[in-house]
Amino acid sequence: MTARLTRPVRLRQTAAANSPLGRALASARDRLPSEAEAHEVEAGVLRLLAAGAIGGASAGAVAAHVVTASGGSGGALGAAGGGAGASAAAGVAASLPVAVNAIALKLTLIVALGAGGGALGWRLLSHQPSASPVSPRRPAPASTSRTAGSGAVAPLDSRAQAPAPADAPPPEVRAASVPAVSAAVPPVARRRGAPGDSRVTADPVLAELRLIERARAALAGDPARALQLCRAHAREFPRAVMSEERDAMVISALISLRRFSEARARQASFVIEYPESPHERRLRERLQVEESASPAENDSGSAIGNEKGRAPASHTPARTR
Amino acid sequence: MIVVSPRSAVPRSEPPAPSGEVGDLPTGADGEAFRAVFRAHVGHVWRSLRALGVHEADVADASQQVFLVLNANLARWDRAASLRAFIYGICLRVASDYRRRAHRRHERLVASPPDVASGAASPEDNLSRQRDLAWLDAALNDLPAPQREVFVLYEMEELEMSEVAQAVGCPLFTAYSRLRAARKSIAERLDARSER
Repeated sequence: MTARLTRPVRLRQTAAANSPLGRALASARDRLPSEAEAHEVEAGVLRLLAAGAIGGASAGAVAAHVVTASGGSGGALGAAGGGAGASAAAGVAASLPVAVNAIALKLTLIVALGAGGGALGWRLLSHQPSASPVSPRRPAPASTSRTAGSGAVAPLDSRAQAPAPADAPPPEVRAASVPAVSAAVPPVARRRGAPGDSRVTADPVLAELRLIERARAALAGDPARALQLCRAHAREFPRAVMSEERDAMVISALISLRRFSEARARQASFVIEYPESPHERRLRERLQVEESASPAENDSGSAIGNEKGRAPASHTPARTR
Repeated sequence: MIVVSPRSAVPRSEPPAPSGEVGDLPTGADGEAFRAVFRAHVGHVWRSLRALGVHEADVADASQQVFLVLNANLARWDRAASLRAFIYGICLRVASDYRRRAHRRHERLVASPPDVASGAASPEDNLSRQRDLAWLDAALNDLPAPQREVFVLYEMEELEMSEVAQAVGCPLFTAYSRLRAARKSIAERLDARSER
């Protein structure tokens, strides 16, 4: 079929370099991001990924949001997008890297559910409340499933701990758009952690992930609980895959609990241990901001922080350095 | 209907990812693989989004979105196919969604003052570059989206036609005819411009 198709000579090669078209095409090719811009995007992506979970398992949350926000219907699940599109369903399982194979089963299951159940399956999926990396787990009312994604792809400067700012442009990638077979599926499947699936719990990485996820879910509403879970994680998984995640959450929880001196100490060792961590800057900045906004610690006594409507969970007595 | 395969039945014969590629991206806790992919492709993503109508002010957010979607969907990437085309495919969709929203909100769809990097070029030179770019953006804006996508990927991003078809998700012949149509429109505009 392709035999008789020859490669068309590109316009850039035929248009004279100083012709308007030639110049325009050449200029358009130079419209690249600056170092700073590229770095900003990278940092934003890594931050969001890290906020979701580890590496790839994490971005799922975002993609789930993206798709969920689309208002797409169940039918969209079947629509083949571009690229590897058509073979997607089979491809999901086939091309999954070995390490996430444990997830593949559930994932395939849910793909089947989605494709078969159509809108019903879609609804089930879109109701996953914990698609947001930080939102606490709670049963989501049906009506929120479509709107929950407004902050899915947060603007670059948003922090992982404070997602969904009101001014974030709604992503709304349409369902059929994000490469077919519902981008929402993998993340949801990953996060669902079907209870009773012994195969899943037998996988140490998944068990670890689930503990981390529970801690993360607790982080926003109940930092003390998150801290507890992180400690449990440290006990159970001494050589954890997600120790960086965990340590970052510990610091985050300590900040939320206004235990700034502990947070500072942890932060200091965190930087040494994970100098490249995408969490590092966010935590450092948050620590600075929160600490200066809440002088209870530095400046023993006056709890000005309360005036701003922030209700510190617990004030630890000031410890001067 | 899709068969629910037990784990052991998952085909293991997938070809290994080309070295330096992103084979382990989804599991890479350290994000090293991701960074490699990011660095290799951020320029393409950024540039193509611009050509596909994403405003300068929004291109950083849109690029971010592309990589997040990529990361979440990497498992779907058929390793036999071009990763580049896969990424461009995501760009197309993100951009298409962006245009749709911009249109609905009656926002700046029209090419705004272009943002040519003001390097060492003289002001006059820069100005004419900007004019040319603005013209090209306007011409692209007037193309039907499918033609625009093929044109951008082939003429500006310089993918192979097979990759274009893969990214767009259309048959190869369709890609060729879209390219032909797009070129025709652009050429007509060019003529109209030079006559003025």
